[in-house]
Amino acid sequence: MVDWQSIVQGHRGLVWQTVYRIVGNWPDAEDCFQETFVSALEYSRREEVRDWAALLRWLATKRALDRLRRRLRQGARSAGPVDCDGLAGRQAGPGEEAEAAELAENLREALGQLPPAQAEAFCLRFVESRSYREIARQMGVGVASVGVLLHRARRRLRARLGSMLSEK
Amino acid sequence: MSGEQYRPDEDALGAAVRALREAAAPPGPGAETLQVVLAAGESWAGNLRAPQRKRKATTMKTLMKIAAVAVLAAGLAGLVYVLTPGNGGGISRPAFAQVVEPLVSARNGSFTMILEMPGQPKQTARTVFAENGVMRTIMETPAGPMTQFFDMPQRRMVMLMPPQKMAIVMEMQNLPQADQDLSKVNMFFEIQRQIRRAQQQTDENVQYLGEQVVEGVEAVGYHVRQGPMDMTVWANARTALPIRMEVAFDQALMGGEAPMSLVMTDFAFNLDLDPAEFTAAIPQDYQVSTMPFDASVPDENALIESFQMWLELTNGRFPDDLSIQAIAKGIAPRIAMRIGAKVLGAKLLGARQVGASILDQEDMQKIMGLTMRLTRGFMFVHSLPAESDWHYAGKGVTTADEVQAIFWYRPKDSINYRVIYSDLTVAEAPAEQAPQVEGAQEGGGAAAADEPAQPETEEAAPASP
Repeated sequence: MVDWQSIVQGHRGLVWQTVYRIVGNWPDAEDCFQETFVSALEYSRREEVRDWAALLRWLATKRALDRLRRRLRQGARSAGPVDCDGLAGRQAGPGEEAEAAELAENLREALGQLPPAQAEAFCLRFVESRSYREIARQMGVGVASVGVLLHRARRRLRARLGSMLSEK
Repeated sequence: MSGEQYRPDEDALGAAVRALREAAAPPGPGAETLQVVLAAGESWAGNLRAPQRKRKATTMKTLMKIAAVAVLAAGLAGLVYVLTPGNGGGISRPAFAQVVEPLVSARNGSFTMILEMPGQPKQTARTVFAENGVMRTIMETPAGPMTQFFDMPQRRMVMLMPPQKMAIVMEMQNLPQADQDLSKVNMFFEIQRQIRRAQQQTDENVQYLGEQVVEGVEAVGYHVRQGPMDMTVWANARTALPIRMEVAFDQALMGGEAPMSLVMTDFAFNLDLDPAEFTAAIPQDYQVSTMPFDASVPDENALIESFQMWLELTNGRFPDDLSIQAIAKGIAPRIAMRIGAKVLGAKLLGARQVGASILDQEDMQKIMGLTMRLTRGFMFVHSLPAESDWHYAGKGVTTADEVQAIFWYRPKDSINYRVIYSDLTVAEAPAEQAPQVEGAQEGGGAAAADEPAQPETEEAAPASP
């Protein structure tokens, strides 16, 4: 029998951090948090879950990226003001905080424009620091394919970020 | 794996990733959200059990191979997924009984379909699924109404053109062994069966969209991502009956242009249908053409045949790109040019009306045959998985040019690439010797740049982006 309470309490921080990083605002993060755990519940009905952390991290990334794409389709960027308090830990000045926040928001917009598989692989690798093998296992692709996805994602993101900077 | 260090000379991407990683989240989520999540698990606690085997769709897979039905079947499969409890992202959804009842218990059903492609006139059709397994679609065309019957139990499609008193019958051939028995296939039954199966499965790509007014009715919405297709379904919030379904294709797949879209509305179930209207019977005074329809899975040879046909139609010029939209836009005028001489001849003879009515049965058969054979090979390209890493470099290439690589891909479970050249010969190449052509179209239609011949490995890849 699965101890759901322990799973939620034990992984709530991981899931919250993962979704918030990607969507960048509270309302979307709450929705994605809920959707992630519901998806994990449903997944556990048909598959035995050996690594709840890996599963939840993967689902959280997918849900957050889906939300990002939906938000971009609706023509919005972040749903709220930048939460500068969240950057306090960097001990950076206000100017650096604002610049970092803008960089992060630009990256979110660019991620929302990537093909889903590329965005997913990129976030799992460079935001969540997962290994190729783990990414391949969660996404159901070969390890070599992970490399291809990451290469394409980086190239597109560099191009997109470069365009954003030159538009300023 | 954590704590990766970024290079001092990191570029904008590296800086942006670092900003994203270091943007610590405020404490969360809210207590109410947490309670909802905990409660969801408690209500399901008794149902968490041993994993179940996934079941694969069988007969519906056959229908996907028919180009005209592919979009429809995928759209309906999406409808199956999103209207089943357990799918969708949110906790608050229409109750199980409400969602499943209208579809599961329906004897038949109908809807209106609107197909839009940039630069093309909008096409509207009314589709009905009958209890005997026949699907009928009536479409308005410039040449008048056209009725199509998809009769799966009989393995055939019948197209009737009343203004011309013509009929074309396509008989399915070369069905894969697994799909041979279609005797008990009723397309609507199959949808209902998939709903019952889908109760035990979920789709991670389903998202709950919330509520809004759609066509004057309060509706709940779901978004489904299935491969290159985006589907949005809106159902009556009170009755859970579908109101509107939108299917759009991946912009990249469409060659970077605005995507093709399909909208389905005016759903109705349990209609009082006249069985005589669904027998695909052909009036006796019609001219009938019968042609085979190859239902086998297209392979590389089909692609080569498609290239060959395209070259014949274009005096030796390869297509600019292999996106579905570009091929569809290119096919119609080129096929029309084939029969154009007849239209021109009619003009010279002083025909009063030059249009589709000039086309006779032979012309229609040619059009259908050419279109099916042309599209079959290009559909092979779009059925390749992401790992195939296909590329197309035929833009601007003609048969008069020096022989060069125009298409290459990596078959499943192969470490080598298959390369098709502009003289339509094929060779294998190890990954490190796969062609590298600047500007080549990539699998998925991405704007291309140089691609490493060999997929990067974790050891070779940079730790930071």
